[in-house]
Amino acid sequence: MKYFSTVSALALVAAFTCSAQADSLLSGTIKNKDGATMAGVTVSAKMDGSPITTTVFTDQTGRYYFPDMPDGKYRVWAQAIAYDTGKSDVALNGAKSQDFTLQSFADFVKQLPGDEFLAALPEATADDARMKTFIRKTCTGCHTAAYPLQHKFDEAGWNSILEAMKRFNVLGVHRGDHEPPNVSIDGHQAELARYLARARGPGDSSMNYNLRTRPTGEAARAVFKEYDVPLDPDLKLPGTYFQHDGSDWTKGTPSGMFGGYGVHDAEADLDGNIWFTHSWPSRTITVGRIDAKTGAFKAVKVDEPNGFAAQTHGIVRDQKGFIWFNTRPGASPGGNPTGLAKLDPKTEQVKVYTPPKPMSGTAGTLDVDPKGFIWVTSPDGVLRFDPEKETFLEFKSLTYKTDKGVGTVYGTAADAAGNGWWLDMKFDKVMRGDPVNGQTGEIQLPPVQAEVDRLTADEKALYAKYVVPDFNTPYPWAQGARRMGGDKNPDGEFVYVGNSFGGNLARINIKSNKMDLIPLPNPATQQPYQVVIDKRHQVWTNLWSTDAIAKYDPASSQWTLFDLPSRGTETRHISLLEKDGKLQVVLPYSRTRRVAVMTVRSEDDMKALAARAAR
Amino acid sequence: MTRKTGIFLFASLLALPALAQNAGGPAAKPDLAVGRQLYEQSCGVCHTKPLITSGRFGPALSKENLGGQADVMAEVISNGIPQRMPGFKHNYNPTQIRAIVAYVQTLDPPPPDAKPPTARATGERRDDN
Repeated sequence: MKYFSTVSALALVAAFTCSAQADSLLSGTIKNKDGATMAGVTVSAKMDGSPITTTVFTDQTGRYYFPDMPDGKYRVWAQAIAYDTGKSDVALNGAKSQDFTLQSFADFVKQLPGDEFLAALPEATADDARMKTFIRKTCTGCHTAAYPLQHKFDEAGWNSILEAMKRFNVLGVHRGDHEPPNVSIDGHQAELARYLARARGPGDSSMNYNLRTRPTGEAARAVFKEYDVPLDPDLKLPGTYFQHDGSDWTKGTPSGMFGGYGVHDAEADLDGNIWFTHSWPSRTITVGRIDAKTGAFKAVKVDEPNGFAAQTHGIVRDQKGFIWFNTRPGASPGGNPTGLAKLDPKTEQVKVYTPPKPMSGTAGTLDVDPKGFIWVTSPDGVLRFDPEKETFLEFKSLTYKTDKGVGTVYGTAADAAGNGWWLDMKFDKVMRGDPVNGQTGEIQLPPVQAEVDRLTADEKALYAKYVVPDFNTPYPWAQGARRMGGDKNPDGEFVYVGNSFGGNLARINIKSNKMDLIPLPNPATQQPYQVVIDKRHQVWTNLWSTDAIAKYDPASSQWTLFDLPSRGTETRHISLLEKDGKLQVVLPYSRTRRVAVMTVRSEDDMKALAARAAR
Repeated sequence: MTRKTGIFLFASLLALPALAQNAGGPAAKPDLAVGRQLYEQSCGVCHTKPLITSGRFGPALSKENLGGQADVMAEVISNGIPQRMPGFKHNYNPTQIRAIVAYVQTLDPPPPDAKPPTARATGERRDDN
């Protein structure tokens, strides 16, 4: 094994220094135009010039309480679906009360998150149900349903979009008009365009909106801090460029995803500052750092020989506080081989380790096991890295090249016993590597039988020949084993797989390999991505195609949904920082180039805030 | 998008008839801020590069597109291009479409691309989602 050190080029891109002298409490009451108080309303505040947006929710009495915020001038806004955004400017200088009266908003469809669009799609007939599934498994393989469905097009318009989409790749890049189309989209194009025009076209709509309730209880006690990440100046966007960040729901879900967005995974260091990976080509950034207190942003570049920054994707923090991420060429040709990078948050120095030949290089996801070994995926398996000996151990997928295409390894997780697990999302396989005996095992996830049963004769013929081009355009019956997490508590017994297309978590006992599927509250509309388990064995997952995360309590078998404050978030990762008895949930927003941290206040915290506000 | 496709698309757009009255409506001053927001929301996804190393699906939009003719731009935005671009007339009203046109007419053409798309940009890897 050999490694090389890189020059860690630091580029201080933006910093906001808070000049405020004190922290103050901002609270208020939200009512509708009839004077009734409104629970579960999303209330956000952003100080002039600051990159930080803080968000809370109203309680059952319609009251909201921000955590103490620095004195200063704030924009404050209150949002609920079917109500116009309430807006106010607040000069915070000591405890302040700011009430809102929300007016009805007729064009509420614009405000919806992705799962509400999916839920509303018609499914009364078998054919409609097939189309609904197709949208959920193919269109939302890459983006939220809100992204296209906020628009209304006629059949010709939807057909134009599908004509293009069948030649887009997973990066949002059109492969060219003469490239072969994705045969799954091609084979459904006409039927799907008709279906979409009925649902989101001129005239009467076949959509059936039945909105879920606003946050209550624990979810209404959440506090979000969302941090803006500056756009890459290399984009050379017009000076008038407007970055729609999804913070005002009445403007719809952000549709853009332009070069330089790139925020993919995020992890807090032990000081609570956030490190995120940058997964798209850039000449300035490999990973970024957000100062949790000020929101100041700093780019760290791992140099590539062609002037680009190394790209990355996955990130994890080890027990000592080091940050690990994969590296890959910034652009082809001329890049370094793929590697595994270690970053010291104190010094911001980076060291990159390259797996020795003939091992495979690294791929895009990582985890750390209880002994501090780093697990990182490879294109055809997983590697375990020993940080002390600086050596790699390789495990290969048992099934990789098939007559239906080459497998795509995505998620990985370590378990409590020190085994490594990884996923082939394309073929719904879960692999396990045992470092004690070097053996590899494989578990096949079951197909979604309801989708198998719904196939038409034409579809059976189509999919009999279908060579899956990538993991985001799957078979209709796919579970979509995307990413995973292990319960690494000393008594942890399980790993959990986020099945994006099945809408469930596969829970696998690490001793028996016995598996069961835990459905999300609404498996037809909620798509888990990454999974992470806290010290209380509670399972957290980001529902990436809508603006929400979910927590599963294995003891009670209950789910709790937490709504995110913004639209178009498309969170592709979730991580935790548990320190001093407090838990922080870290969420990168891929679509809108932001990073968020969620904390949850206790009922006692809320009572204390209410008492302070009443004084 | 290949250069050949871009030329074809541009030529197709130029050939479209001018139908100012359908999309333009009464001559009120367009709201540039609204136009900028709607452009970002609905146009940029195809008319801006997804990656700094890639091409874009639709042509870069600027004051020089379609000969700078506002009425032709409004027609294309309203009714789209068969098999290539959806028409937005069911999504935005004539005033909004006029605002988008007004914003596009403030944009200078971008500098030409220095290099063709790389293999990376066109999909060499597949683990980004």
